[in-house]
Amino acid sequence: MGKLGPMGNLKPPSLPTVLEEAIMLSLLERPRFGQNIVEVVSAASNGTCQISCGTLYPALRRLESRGFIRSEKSEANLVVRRGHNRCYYAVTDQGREVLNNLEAMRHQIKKYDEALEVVT
Amino acid sequence: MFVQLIENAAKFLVYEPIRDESLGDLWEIDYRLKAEQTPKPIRLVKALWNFLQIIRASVILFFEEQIFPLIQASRSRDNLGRDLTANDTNSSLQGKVLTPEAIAEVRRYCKARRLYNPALSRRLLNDSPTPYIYWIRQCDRIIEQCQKRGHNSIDTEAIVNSFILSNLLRKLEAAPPHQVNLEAFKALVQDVPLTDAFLERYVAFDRQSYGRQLICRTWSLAVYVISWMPGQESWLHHHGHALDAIKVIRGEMTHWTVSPGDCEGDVPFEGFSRSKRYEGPAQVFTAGDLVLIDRGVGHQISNRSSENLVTLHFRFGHPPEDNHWRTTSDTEMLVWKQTEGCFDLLPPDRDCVLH
Repeated sequence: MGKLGPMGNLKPPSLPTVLEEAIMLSLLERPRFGQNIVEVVSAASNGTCQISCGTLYPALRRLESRGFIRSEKSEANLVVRRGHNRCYYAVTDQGREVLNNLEAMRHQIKKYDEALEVVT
Repeated sequence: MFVQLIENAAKFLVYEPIRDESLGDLWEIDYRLKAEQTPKPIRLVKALWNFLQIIRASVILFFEEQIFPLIQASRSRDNLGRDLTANDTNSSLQGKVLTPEAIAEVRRYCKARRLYNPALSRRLLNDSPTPYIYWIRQCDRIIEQCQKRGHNSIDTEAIVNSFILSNLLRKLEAAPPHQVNLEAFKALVQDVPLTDAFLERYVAFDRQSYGRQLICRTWSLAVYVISWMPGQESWLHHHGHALDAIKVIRGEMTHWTVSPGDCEGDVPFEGFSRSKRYEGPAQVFTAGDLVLIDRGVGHQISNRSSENLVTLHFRFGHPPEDNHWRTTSDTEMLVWKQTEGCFDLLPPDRDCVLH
């Protein structure tokens, strides 16, 4: 396995999975709550990536415990939600750094493959 | 009715940290389906499906956050045990000094033990593995002893205070007894942080005369509380070769210190026979004050105020031998294990273990 230069000090276990990355990407521009995340990811993938509740909440808890996202309770839409709070999630600075590093890694891999094609 | 059913089921089936938001999301989806005029049976099936997914998430999270750390803690405890065995030979006192931080850690641990087993409780401490593992192990041993005797409640105050006394004894017994003079004794006992909640258990007033309640006794030290009602007093006496430190817990203590040459005749040794009352100049001490009585020096205590008086006594040497002890099965709680250098807790027989 090659060097993970663009990943900075990150160790492999800290890398988010594809699903977690999709969740983090959906939170880049603005904080969102659970079902809103599901809708955005579904729409962005043209319906190919459907996140169920059974996957979403554990993924959100994992991301939060690793410091990639943060949560904040909100009393929005309480009547419809039968008194239950909404929990809005937003990407932290650490989360943004991870996403940037992942993007940089993809870019490096792409450049490496292009260079390989030219040589061969 | 359906809503109530889901809400009630969620209380038992949904992991608490995600319960609020996941149920809210579930009802929000249901509301949208209703707004889109989705047939009721479909809405019902979708709500049930989402609820099952939330239960699935709960199971996953429960394993990840509760069960898995437990397994990890168990493994790390085994490793720690091996490490400590190796370290013990090199530094026998490392981590055995009872600092305020160690006391706070013991309190946190006792609190956790009320809900969880030892492995998970250790895991919940701020620094795991804890640097205060010696005291945590002592804690476990005391709790285990209590449970063997059928006392399942964890008596944090008794555990913490037994450690405080244990720490005092370790320091006290580090020097030969004849080298422990009044100044050295004062330095050791003046900052012993026995808690008010603990001492209060030993307060017992008696209209007949003042009464002593034993907290602990070893070959070198007796610690006890004396409760004085207004007007009660000890008459003039000395303690022979024993040193005495008296701390006023509450109330007002009138105290006389008498050198043998200061009164007519000899100052009598304490005992069963009634001695004489000394009427010379006295000093008044209030809560927090500490009075030291040297070997052979006579003294007399009286509660001349209108309020009750409570005093805590540290006696280095033989304990008092008279009929003022109020020793019952609910007061002798700490038993010193000389070979192991620490206390074991004997819970009271009555059913009023305080926390």
